[in-house]
Amino acid sequence: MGQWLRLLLEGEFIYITAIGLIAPIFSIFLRDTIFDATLLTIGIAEGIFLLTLAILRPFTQLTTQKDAKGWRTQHFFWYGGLLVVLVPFLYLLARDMIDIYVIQMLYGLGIAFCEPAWIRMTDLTCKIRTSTNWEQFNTVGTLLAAGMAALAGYVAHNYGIKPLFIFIGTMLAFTIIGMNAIYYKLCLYQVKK
Amino acid sequence: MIKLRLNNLLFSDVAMMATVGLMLPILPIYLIEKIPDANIQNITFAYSLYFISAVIFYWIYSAFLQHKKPWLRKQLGLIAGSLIIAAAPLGYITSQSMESIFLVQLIFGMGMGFFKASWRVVIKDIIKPDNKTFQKIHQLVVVLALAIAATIGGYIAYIFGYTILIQTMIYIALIGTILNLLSFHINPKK
Repeated sequence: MGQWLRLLLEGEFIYITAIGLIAPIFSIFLRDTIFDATLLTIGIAEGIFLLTLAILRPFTQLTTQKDAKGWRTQHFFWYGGLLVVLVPFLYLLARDMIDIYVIQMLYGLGIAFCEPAWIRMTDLTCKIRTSTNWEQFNTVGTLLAAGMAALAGYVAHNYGIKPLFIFIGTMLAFTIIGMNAIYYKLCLYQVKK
Repeated sequence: MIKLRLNNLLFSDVAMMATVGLMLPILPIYLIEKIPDANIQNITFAYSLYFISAVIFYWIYSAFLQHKKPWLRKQLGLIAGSLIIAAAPLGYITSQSMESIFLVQLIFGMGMGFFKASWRVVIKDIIKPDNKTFQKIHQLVVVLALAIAATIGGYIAYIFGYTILIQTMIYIALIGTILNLLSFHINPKK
């Protein structure tokens, strides 16, 4: 079990890393590449993502709450993961702010769909390793995201924003596939046995 | 009385998160426009400094809370943290170089670290740790506040300019400080 927990933690941290890479340069990316990006539309884009997440989160949590075997949660995780992986590539294809708004909605939808599986896995981890708790997860995650934000700045400054987004998308794809496998092993395989 | 205190604390946290949320999405653009030596590299560094500072001061203040007079320290931490958050945005207006922006970000993070560390302990005194309802309401309200703050922040900066935006941040943080003062509770036994 120990190796799966380690993989889970690494997977979660790689995910946080990818998000940390995008966050600080997102507004600069919009300003440089989207012709109708203004302070107002950038604020709206960020608001749409958070609003979608806030609206959908209670529903996805409610839907997966009574999912004793965890299959429904895994389906949510598949679709949510697919959306999250697509987001960095879609940013590169966006032409105007309407495209960005739709992508932000998909991003919020993806995160809301992925969250029940992450909560389930982390709860299980915390149960098995009593020394690991939510605060430690949050602390390490925040520090990692902060470090990655600085690294993102270095990469974007020297190589450009587009290669960074491609790198983030690829990293997210591997992470989501890996975490799906871990979810299967941790949460579903035990039930099947 | 407990319900009123809980509401005050909930909305003070919302006010603090909204203060940060007003500026955070457009901070890189503000720096590029206003600070002469800003580039992507040092902007992202400034961005990450806030988070690093918040986490470090969170743990430092959490350790400090456990010693003498914790009931007083945690409530003073709430007020001190929210006052620092209210004062820090002034640094954005006065800064002329990226070095001073780094300092502002550090102070901002320090305020958030003090506030969050005290807030969690004060909340734990009022409600049971396994109270899922409060946790869910808190999670929902904070994300909603951040969503609305991001949109309003962009709107204010676009229509009225950055100075008004920073003034709004200060006013919201001061409202949060007043809510913290209202929830001040003297109980040396705890």
